[in-house]
Amino acid sequence: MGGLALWLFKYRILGLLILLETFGAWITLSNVLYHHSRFTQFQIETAGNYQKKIKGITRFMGLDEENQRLNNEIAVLKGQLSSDSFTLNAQKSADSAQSNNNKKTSSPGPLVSLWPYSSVKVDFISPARVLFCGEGGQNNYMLLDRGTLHGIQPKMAVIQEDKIVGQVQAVSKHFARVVPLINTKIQISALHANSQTVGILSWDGKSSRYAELIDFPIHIPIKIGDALVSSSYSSVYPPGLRLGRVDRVEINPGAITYKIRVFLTADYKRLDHVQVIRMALQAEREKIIPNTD
Amino acid sequence: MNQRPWLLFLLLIIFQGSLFNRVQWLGLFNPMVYTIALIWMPISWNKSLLMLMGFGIGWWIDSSVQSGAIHAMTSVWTIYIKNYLIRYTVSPVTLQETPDPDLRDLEIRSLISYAGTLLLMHQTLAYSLEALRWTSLGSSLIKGFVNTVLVMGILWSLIQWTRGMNPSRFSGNKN
Repeated sequence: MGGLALWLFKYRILGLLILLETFGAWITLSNVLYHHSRFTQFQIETAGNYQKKIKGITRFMGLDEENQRLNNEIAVLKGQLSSDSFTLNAQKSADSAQSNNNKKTSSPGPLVSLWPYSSVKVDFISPARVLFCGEGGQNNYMLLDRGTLHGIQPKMAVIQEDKIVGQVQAVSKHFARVVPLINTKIQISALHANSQTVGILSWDGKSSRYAELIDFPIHIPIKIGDALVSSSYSSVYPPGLRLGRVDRVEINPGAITYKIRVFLTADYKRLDHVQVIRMALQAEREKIIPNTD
Repeated sequence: MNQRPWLLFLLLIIFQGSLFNRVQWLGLFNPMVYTIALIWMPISWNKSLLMLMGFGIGWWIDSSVQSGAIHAMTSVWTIYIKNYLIRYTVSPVTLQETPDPDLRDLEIRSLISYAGTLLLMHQTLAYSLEALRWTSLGSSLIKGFVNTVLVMGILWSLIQWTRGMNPSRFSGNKN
């Protein structure tokens, strides 16, 4: 104990230097917007590089399973190409809600369909791989191996096939940080496909497979197994993408809304390949939304 | 211990916060004159106290330009390093005679190498922290060098001026 005190006394000046410099760095990084942003980019870049190495090893070990999944996906896509009747079930219902808007808006620029014969239009799409996906905490995040160099920008949607995964929050040159649906700070409007009624999907922080649908009025009939898709209210997610299915419906006495548990479509424990997309005309849409900040 | 021009230090710090921080000629000239006070302060004082003083001064400058604590960090570093640097830049004979030499007591060569190095380190570090990019390191060095020359000029003028105010005390000094 005496030795430790002596050692601390001996290096007290160096200790004070480190303490003051750390304090100064903390003040700078938390108070100056530019430095905060540079530090965030550095964090993403460092975490991304680390996770890329770890993921490289685990991917190699799981190649068989991955090949199987890709083969299945190719088979499904081939089937879709050979059939003119391809449309997503969930999308059908969302399309009718969107049809009025489509009539009024033109679509300049190179818009592409998200899938063959799909009416979901995007003006940017990029494949990405998940390097890290936290799913044990309250404010989970994910890391993707694509960044500004690949055209990724904040507020882009991250999907897996037709399932919503989350949205891009911050980007560095080579990596992107994504806020998944399993983050307690995220709320997203969800359309009940059968009744065309919108509720709010939010995560309660418990299980990565379940979320809650709130503000869904009690006079609307809803049953277990009903599909929930993204609504046209969002400027990040194209309408009609799958969010989940109703898993449990409860009615509290005196309440005017249901208590609904939703089984999420995206399995965050098994995410690997995802797509980053930007909804068509997103910038134009956001421009006319009044700034409420 | 030599008598330092404390009022001058105070004025330099105030001028930095109120005037020199707003100077941005051609995006290159942004002299940090308060560094003169940090360099000129006695080294025989308690180092912890000096470092805390440096942090406070730097933070005050930072608060006037909303730069977080960049000046505070660089000031603490400057005060920390100057005790070591003086051993390599000032002749041992001088240090033996006056262990805590006033800048006015130093020979011109020692003054340039001691104060010049400290100023260059301080200014370059401050500009580098401000830019916070590896690619800006070159321009930070150029800015640091240009402003070091500028502040060295101001320091030299101040030394001559304070000597002129008390000629008998420094009459034996040869520069």
